[in-house]
Amino acid sequence: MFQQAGGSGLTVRSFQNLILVNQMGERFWNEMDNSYAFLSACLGTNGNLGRDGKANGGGPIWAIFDSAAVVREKWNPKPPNVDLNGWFFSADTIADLAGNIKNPYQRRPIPAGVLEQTVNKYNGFVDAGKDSEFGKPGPMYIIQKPPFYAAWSPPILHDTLTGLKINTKCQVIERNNQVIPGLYACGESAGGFALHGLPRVTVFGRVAGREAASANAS
Amino acid sequence: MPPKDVEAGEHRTSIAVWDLVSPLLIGRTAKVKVGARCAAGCQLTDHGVEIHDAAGKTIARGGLGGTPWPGTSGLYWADVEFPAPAEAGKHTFSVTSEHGGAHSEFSFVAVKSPDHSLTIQVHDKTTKETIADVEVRLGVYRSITDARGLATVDVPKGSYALTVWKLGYELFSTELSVDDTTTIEVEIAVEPEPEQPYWM
Repeated sequence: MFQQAGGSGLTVRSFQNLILVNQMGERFWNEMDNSYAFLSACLGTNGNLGRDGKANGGGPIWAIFDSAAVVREKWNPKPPNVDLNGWFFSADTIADLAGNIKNPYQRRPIPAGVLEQTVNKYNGFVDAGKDSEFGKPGPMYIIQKPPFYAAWSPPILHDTLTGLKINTKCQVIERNNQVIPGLYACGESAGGFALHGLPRVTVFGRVAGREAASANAS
Repeated sequence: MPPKDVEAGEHRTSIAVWDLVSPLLIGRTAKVKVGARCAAGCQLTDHGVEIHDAAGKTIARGGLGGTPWPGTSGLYWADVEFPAPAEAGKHTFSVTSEHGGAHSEFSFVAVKSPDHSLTIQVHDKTTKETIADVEVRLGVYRSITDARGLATVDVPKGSYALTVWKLGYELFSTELSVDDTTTIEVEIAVEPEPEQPYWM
C-alpha cells in the first residue's frame, strides 16, 4: 500500500507561496482557507464532471510554485526531501511543467495552455492585490521565476472512522455481539471512536496489549 | 545548433518571463527577463525573442545569451527592455521566440507617476518592536520593510487598500487616503495557533 501513498515531502509555511490546481490545471478554491469548505472543494469533481461520462470525485491536486517560493519557504526541492517518482516535478517553464506531470492518478496530461493561463490569471490577481476569483486574502507573490515546480497535494486521509467493533477491552465483537476469543483490535483498525491519531493508537494499543497479555497469562 | 538526430517538429519551445516589477510607470522603460527552452535540447544562444503589445505590434527584441538560467536544464535567457504603455490599467503583452515559434503572455499593471510618498512603520502589536521583511501593499503598489521596520511606497494622490503581512502574522488591511507625503504606524498581531477540530 505504501508505495502508492507518495507525497511531496515538503511542509508549507504559508499557502501564499503557491497555488493549488486540479487535474485540469485550474485553481478551484482559496488556498488560504483552512476550513472544511476547502476540504469539500478538494473532494469535488475538480473540473472533470461529465467528461467521458465519468465524474471523477477529487482527482489529483497539484501545488504549483516557482523558485522564488522555494527561497521564501527555505525548501530544498531535491531527493530525499521530495519524491521524484511521480509525486514531484520541475521544469524550466510553466508549459513544460504541465507536460512533465505524470502520475497514475492524472488520467490526462494537464494542458500546457490551461496551466499557463491559470498562472497568468493568478499573477494578475497578485498585481491587482485582489483575488477576484476565489477571494484568497491579499495574494502576495506572483509565480514567474524559473524553474517551476509541481508537488502532489491532495488532502491526507487521516483515518476512516470505521473498523472492527470492539468492547472496552479492545476485544473484537462479532455480528451477534459476542466476543471473538483471542482477537483484539485497536487504532485505525478498530471502529466506534471518533478520534484519530496518536492518542487513539497509543491508548487503545496499550489497552489491547494489556488485555491480551492478561488473558494469555490466565 | 540542434542535435543531428532531431526532427524539425520536435523543436517544441516554451517561454518564461520573469523579474517584471509591476506596476510599471507610464512612459518609462521596463525591463524583463525572457527565457526560452527547446524540448530537443537545442542551444539557443543568439536566437531572437520578441515582445509584442496588446495590438500585436513588436515593441522590443532581444538575443538569448550563452548560458542557461541557474537551476534550469536549458532555459536560455535575455534581459529585454520595452516601453511601458501610455494608458493606465492592466495590460497583457505577448512574447514569441524565433526558435520553435513559441508564444506566451504576461500581464502587468501600468500606473501614473507617483507624486506622494507614504512611509509605513510596522510594529508587533504585543511587543511593540519593529518588524523587518513585512510585505506592504497599497493598491497595486508594493514595498517591503527594512531592518528598521520601515517601508516607503510612492503613489499618486488617491484612496487605497493597505495590506500588511508577514509570515506568522495576521493579515492587516485597511482603507486610507493619500493626499500628502506622510508616515503612518501599523501594528500587526502574531497569528494564533490554528484551531483543529480533530487531533492531527
